[in-house]
Amino acid sequence: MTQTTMVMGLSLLLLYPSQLLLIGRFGWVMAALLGIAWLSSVWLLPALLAGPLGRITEGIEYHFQVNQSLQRPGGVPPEPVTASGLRAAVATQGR
Amino acid sequence: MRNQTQGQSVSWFDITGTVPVFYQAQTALLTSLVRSLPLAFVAIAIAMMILLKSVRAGLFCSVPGIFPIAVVFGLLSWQGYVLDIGIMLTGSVAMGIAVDEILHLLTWFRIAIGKAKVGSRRSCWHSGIVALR
Repeated sequence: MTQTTMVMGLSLLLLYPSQLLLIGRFGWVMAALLGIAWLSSVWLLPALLAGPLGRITEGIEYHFQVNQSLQRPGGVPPEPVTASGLRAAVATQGR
Repeated sequence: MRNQTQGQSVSWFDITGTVPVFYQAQTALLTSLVRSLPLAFVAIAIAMMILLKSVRAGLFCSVPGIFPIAVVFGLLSWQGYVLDIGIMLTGSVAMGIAVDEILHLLTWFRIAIGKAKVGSRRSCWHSGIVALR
């Protein structure tokens, strides 16, 4: 997300010095909108999900196959996953 | 409209050229923007509701989609900018990009919440690391 936003925002900012005022304004407004969209998806949405209102989304159904290697047998609650383990598990199951 | 020119009365006249064409196109764009943005928000909210299988979660997760438009268009009108075609075109594009990023993050979030079997706060932490790239 960060990389795509940076690439798109910087390339749209190239339109700013355009002699046609319409195009120049389109460029910087679009870049500003991309920046705010990045803020809203990377900062605002996780903050909303982690806050008290995030309990709404905890009941959402889970469609992906849970990796068995992350769960202990016998009904024991799974041990907390680390970020690297999660990344590896997600990478093996594909996106 | 009546106008006295060179002693004879002119009952009506047409404004020709590119200016009225441009004005009419801009007015049509503005009215269609006002009509289509709420429609797009409703359609996105319905899609989110179907995806998350929850009405409240769908509404909740489509809020960050209108946040960029609300902030940037609000700041523009606060600073007194006049809406032109270039600015109007950006609204729907930005909404689409914001919803795309939200769906990316929600996918990672659902993977994390399913694997870790923990609360939303912890899943957010795990999915945020992956999605921040």
